[in-house]
Amino acid sequence: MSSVDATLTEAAKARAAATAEAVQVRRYCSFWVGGHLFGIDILEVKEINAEIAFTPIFHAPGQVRGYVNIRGQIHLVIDPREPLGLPPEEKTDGKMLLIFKPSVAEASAMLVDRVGDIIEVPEDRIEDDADQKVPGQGGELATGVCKLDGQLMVVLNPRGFLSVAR
Amino acid sequence: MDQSLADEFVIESKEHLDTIEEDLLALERQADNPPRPLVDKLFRAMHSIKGGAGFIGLKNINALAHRMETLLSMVRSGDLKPQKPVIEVLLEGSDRIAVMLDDLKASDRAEVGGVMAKLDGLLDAKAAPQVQKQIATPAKIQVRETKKPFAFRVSQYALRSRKAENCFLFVLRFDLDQVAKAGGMSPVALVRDLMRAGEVIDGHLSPPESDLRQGVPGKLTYDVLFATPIPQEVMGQLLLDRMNVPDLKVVAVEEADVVESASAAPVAPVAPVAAPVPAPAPVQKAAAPPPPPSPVPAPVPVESAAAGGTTAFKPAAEAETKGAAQAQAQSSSDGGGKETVRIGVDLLDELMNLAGELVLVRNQQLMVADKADSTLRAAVQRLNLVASEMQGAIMRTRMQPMGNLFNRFPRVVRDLGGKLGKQIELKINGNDVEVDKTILESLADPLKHLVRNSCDHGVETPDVRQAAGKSAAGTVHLRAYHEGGQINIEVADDGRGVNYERVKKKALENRLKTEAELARMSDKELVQLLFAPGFSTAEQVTDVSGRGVGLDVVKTAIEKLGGQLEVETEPGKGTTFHLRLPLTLAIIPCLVVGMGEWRYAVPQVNLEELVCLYDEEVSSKVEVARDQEVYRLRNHLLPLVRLDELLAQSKPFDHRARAAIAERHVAKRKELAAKGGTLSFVVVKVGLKRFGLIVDRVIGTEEIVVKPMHPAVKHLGVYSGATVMGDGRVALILDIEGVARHAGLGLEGGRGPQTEEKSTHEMVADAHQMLLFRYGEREQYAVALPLIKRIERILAKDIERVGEKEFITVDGIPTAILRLDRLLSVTKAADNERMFLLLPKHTTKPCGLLVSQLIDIEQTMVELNTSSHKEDGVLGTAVVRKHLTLFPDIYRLIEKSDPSEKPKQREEKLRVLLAEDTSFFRQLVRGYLESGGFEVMAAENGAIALDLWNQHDFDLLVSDLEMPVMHGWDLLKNIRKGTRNPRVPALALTSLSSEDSISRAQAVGYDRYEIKMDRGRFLTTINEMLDRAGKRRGSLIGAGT
Repeated sequence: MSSVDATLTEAAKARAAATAEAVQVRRYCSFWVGGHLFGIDILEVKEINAEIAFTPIFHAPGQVRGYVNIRGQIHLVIDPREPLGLPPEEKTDGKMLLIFKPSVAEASAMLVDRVGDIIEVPEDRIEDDADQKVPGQGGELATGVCKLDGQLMVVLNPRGFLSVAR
Repeated sequence: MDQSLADEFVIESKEHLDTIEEDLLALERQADNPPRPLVDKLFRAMHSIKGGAGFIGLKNINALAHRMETLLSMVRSGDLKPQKPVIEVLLEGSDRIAVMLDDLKASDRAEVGGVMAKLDGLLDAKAAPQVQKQIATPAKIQVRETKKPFAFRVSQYALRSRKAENCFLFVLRFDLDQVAKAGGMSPVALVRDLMRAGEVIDGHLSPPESDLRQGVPGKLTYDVLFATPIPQEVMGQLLLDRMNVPDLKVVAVEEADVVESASAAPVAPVAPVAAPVPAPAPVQKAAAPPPPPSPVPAPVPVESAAAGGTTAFKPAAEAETKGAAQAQAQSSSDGGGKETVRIGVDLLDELMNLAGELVLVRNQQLMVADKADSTLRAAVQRLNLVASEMQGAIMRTRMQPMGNLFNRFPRVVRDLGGKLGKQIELKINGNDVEVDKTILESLADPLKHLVRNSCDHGVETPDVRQAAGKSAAGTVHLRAYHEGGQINIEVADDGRGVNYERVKKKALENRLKTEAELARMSDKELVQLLFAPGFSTAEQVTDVSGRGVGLDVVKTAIEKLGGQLEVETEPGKGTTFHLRLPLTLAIIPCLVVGMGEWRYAVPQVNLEELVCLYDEEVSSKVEVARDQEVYRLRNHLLPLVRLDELLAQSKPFDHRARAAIAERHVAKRKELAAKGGTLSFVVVKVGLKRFGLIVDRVIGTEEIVVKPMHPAVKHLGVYSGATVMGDGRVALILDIEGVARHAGLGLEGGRGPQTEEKSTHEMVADAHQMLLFRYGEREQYAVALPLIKRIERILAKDIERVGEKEFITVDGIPTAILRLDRLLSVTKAADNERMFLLLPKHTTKPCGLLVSQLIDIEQTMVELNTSSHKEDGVLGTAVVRKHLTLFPDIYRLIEKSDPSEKPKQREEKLRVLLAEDTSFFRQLVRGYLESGGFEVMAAENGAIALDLWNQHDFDLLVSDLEMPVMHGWDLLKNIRKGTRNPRVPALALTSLSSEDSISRAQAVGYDRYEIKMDRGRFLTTINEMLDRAGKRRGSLIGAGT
């Protein structure tokens, strides 16, 4: 976990020096779920945590995985698999939590298989037509898609997952 | 105006107004069938506003709210449909109140005439023509001697309604100049003073206000038309004492109908009175003929206050100055007190979280600390101690002393005393007792209600007290103390206590209970009626209380806080309300239970007991009643809910789901029993209902810190919150009421005594519970258990004979005995020493069915055979437990033994269509209807009923709701849509009392519904419905000709 934190902050520092250029560069926290690469704007992520001792909330909608205690605060864990149309997966070993900033979603976190690098993309390389690229019916959950070297990164909108949960 | 009182009033009223718009609009949408809870809520909101405004002397708000309340009370009584015009005016009224609340000081100068007129217009439009005329006619008010009229603008109705409230009416004439000089009183102060003792109906200055521009004339007189409960002679003396005004004129008022006054001269003796010695001159009723009032009902109730009234009024004034001095002293001492800092609650919450986290770290430390390392062990222990203390200290920051709340009451009680003409002393103990801030805040309202209640209903007027040998001054005692980890608050008075007779009378009037039920109720049960919605024994509607709002609200509020409200009363000695509350809402004691690898918390308030079944019992003690597993706990059937099944299915259980669960577990239980396993359940209660919650294991009790549910999962009914356990895992707190609702236990029906007798067994097993018994040696009988109020054990030797009849004393009441062999052709009673008496519900006279032996309670769906044994008084027969069993019709038997019990017969022969799937009930209801003189055709389900409907003519439909093939909702939908008598009166008959099924029934057009099965009420309802339908038909024909 600490190495990830370190990567995050280092990348942030590097970017802070370089952003004065003309084209706006966006930074995304990339992660994998079900073999697909996704990204969430780094400004929407508060922290990454490896705590996976969930308490299930029976009766809750499918994407709610349960509650988790992060330093005394109870967070809601969202599993993006169902909304994204990916097959469910019970096991949580080695998975990570992306905890959102309170301004994005109050006390909520997203369960991901693996966290990747911080990916910097000039804004004009993000394409709008996300619908076809997102597996399944989760169109409104993605705000764009970005072609990287050899793969696609789907940019997700964390708020979309919460509105589904409500 | 006391600023803190006023602030509080504004906050409280705004809370009420916040929801009012939405509620009014909801009401409008359901104008044809206004849901009672909604009307009640609105009514209570208006009542609170009215009460508060009246109390702090806000005339405009009070008047407006009063009218809106009256309008809502007409909606409540069904006299007025809340259609668009009504709702519009109510909305306008609440808008006006909201505006006035924003500037309280200016509120009495605000223009409210328009709204008021509209409200009056609506009230008038609904009133009887005679009343309307009174409203339209201005009253003429004149000096009795000279017939010189006063220039008051008052309608006759206004005067008459004041009199109906037993008020005295006076005209007071003040010389303002004198008042100011001799009494040192400004006109405003004068009016305020007057308002404290009564109501200023109208007032005017002479010369009129408009002339003042020419300069103030030498003499300025102010005439006030004044209504007060204080009789004239006392009032005169009072004003003299208070104001030292020598030139005060108190003029008795006489009113005369304007139309008639020209011809019919008033006959009353003439008695104008100048102040110093005011002669007793009670208000005269209108002398004019229409309507000729029966001998004048003298305004009795208040007269008796004469002696005490004066004394009570004075101390109020004195006390005021004393109070002010006290307040001053207090504030000055506060200045030199402890230093304090204001902190936001969110900061405290954060601290609380951190402390919780610290506790977790400590726990981890304790686990990893090397037991051998003594220095480390000492450090960890120290950490342990500090963490606990810190958590405690942070908890205490949320605590506030009760004194913060209690301090408001001296003023409240003093003012009430003045207003009600009573002397009331307030004693306060336990100002230092600390309570969680949230609880303290939520307590303000309920406590105020209780204190007002004690002052208004409890403490008597001084002369009544003295007549009873008590001191003239009554005492209200407020007390707070800690006991058993809870905070206890008492509101006690030494007044008249609860008058059981009046409670009974009121319960009858409000149709909460029948006479027979009341006769059997103990004093304790009677007192519980006070908490029933819509119940009030106040005979007069006052500003302070009455109108049937009150204790039920208090009870609800207390229960919402996780507390309990109890009442003790002794007639003539006083009444004590006892509140028990948790210390804090942030931390609640819970029982932690385990289900699989997860833990759940059950709040202690819901907890009743724990039951664990071993071995054989697992399968033998748990039975299935219809679709529900039940356990017989001390002769009560307790429905069992399996937590695992409940959590596994997110859809609320219906009949099929419950049946599937019950069936699935029959075999599992057997298996478990064979293995020597155990079955644990927690007996929980919601209101008066109980059920068992089956869990894997019981872990223990724990104080847990409650966190609210995340907004995304807040809608889940079965959880009320979450908490972090000692090991850092999250556990969910169960909402027991939500669990019951999810499991379909039908607990959501009303609270309070009405539903009390519908205890668990009825709830579970519908009405298919049959009590099997013997009377003679041979026959086996069965009656439906829900029809039986009680089973009494008696000795044969105690039976007494009066002529042919036999009696036995039950609860001190001679109860007639019904012997089956005298009423039916069956064998005589077995000659037992010990016998039983079945006391049926809903009878007008006490009587009981004699039984020689009770066999058992059988839960079956019986198909009654009506042909094999036909006899008057027998519903039918069925084979139960391999014996032919007779089902006697208890009510028919009562009728046979005492013909006066026979219900009223209708003159015309009307035909009723009855749809009911249970053959037993079909037979029973058919019998009821036939005894009421109806011709009945019965159908087993909605589809058959609809066929019958289309072949014959019926005057009334009585239908069950839950039926196979076609249920009752669809049946009526089809009839209402059809061409054949679509507007037929329809009665839904149901054993479900859930709001949902009732509202669905109303939605499809059922006019009324009855819960199975009170014969008297059933027939009354039917007759009412038919009478109304008959009138409608009649009036249509009338309009045609």
